[in-house]
Amino acid sequence: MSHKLNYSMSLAKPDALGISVTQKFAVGIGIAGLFILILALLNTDFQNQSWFLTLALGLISVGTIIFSNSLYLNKSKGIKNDGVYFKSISSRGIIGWAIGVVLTLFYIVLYFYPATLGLGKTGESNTGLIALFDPLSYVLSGRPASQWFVYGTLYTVAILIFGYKFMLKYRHNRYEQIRTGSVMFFQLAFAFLIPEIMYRLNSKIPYYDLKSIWPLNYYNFERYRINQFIDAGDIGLALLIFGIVSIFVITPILTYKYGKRWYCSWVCGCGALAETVGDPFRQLSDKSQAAWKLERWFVHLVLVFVVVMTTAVIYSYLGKDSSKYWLTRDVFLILVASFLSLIFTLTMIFKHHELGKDARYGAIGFFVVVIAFIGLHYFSSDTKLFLVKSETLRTSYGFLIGSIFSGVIGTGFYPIFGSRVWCRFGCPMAAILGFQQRMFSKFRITTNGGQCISCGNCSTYCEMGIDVRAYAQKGENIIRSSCVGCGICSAVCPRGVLKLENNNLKGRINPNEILLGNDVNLMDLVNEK
Amino acid sequence: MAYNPGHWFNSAKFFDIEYQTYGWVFPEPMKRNQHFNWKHDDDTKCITIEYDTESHRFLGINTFGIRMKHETFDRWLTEKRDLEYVIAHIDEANFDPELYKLYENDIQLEFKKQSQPVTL
Repeated sequence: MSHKLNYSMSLAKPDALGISVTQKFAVGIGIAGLFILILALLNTDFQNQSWFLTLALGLISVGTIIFSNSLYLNKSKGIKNDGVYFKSISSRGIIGWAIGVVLTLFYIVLYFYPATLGLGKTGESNTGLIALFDPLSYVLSGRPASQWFVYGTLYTVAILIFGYKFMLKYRHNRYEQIRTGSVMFFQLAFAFLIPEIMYRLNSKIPYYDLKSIWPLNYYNFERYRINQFIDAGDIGLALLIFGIVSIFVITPILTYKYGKRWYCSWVCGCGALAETVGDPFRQLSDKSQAAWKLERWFVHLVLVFVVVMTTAVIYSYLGKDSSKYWLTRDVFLILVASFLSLIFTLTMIFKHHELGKDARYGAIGFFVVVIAFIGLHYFSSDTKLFLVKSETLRTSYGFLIGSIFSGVIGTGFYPIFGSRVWCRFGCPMAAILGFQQRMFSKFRITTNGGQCISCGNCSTYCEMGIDVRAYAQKGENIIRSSCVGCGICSAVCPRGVLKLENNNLKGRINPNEILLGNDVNLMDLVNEK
Repeated sequence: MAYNPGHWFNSAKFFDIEYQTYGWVFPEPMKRNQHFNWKHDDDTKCITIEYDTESHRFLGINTFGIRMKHETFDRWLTEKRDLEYVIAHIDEANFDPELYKLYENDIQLEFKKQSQPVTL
């Protein structure tokens, strides 16, 4: 704890937010590591690449670890968000803005101009930054690195070292510790190591991050993937079946039991980055009602887009002759349409009273999809769907949603819009899980009677922009489709008001809960008008 | 409508330790009252319960480092539960986040130890 005298006597900014000597030293080490990567980017010819790669990643990691230790270990356990709105990096100041711009440019280069990073054209060997990662790639999978391998490695290292920082920051909170351990594990094992090892065992298997589920990996059922799966033999077929089972069976069961958090804040790679690297930016999420409205339109439009796109793409390569294979174009369309109708009907029958005006939007969305399918049936030729080429639909989804939204805006804009922009406004997987969490799940955040003092910490640090306080003040349970269950609202609450729970479906939504703490029922007064 | 406060409650946070109180617990027990106290070895968690010496009626609880449910204690105070009931059911009142280590067993063991008559 700091015992320094507060000379300024200012309540607003009591201390200059300088950094200690140890922290300066740590920043020096980290920047030195980063500098090696920049040198590599500038095509510096390192004689011993594996040594320099180790040095670069090692220095970055050691720097971050020393910095985190110095930041948290000499303070008592507990929430330490001091000065987030005074630090340039976490309050959209000049450093935050600069990092946002650099990250955005990095993503544009990564997605659209990988040759700039040194990716060798077909047949040629890599140069620059990508060549620096060749030795590691050879060790893991026996092939040269690609821009995605470089990105994957940096992504994993970032989650591991900032996960360490996160664990120190929340070391009083076992939920956060275990959850962070989980995202670090899934990133390292499932996203990084297992796909490379699978390639080594059977080079025909397409790259498959087992925890990436359709519609997040929107390309999973495209023709070339299906062919790759089938070519890879039994294991490929097993992976294909796993891909289907994971969205239709595993996902609903786990979301019913635990809410969408089992995926979004325990397993998902995008969530992992947002929770660890993005933690200093979580307070920047927009809490306005306008943002909430925009969020619901955006995320569901992306979902409709991906459903139509995937159906159209699968439709385009299926056969017409049922004597060759049972799954023809028409059978497939009927299957998809009946599945969607089933979900729509069940929701309308059982949950109509909870939906209000949203039911109408849902109905409109549903009919748009079904009419799109009917249109697909009547107006498509072999290459064209409606009037657009199936390839155009696919590439525009890949470009707009897969690259621009999830990468460039989603991560590049961390220091501007907060850490969960993609998860909140764009992710179709989050839309599916959220729909289920809202309609059919045991998960809720409960509030503790009249203990809320309206300090607003919960709303401030909600990365999904949920106004948690509005619920806590009224003693309402928080059941929001966007809630990823990160548990930070509960952690930052100074009065122990919020608790993430899985419990009975009965009594899950309690909109008119009595305010405790005063035997005059304040809700009666409110409702009287 | 007349002001009619329910059972007293409050909470605060001192140097990263959360504090909650339900009912009345005084620094020294009031006349005819006694305290039951449990403290964790690491000095960051403790509870103090004030109760009536004669009837063992539960009068209030202070908790440090453990979150408790307002609703449950409010109900127990209204129902005029006794100390033994509160200790036996204290796990129902826990509001700590998921995956936290719970200390109800320690509290109950400590209670057993303290309430056993000293035999020579």
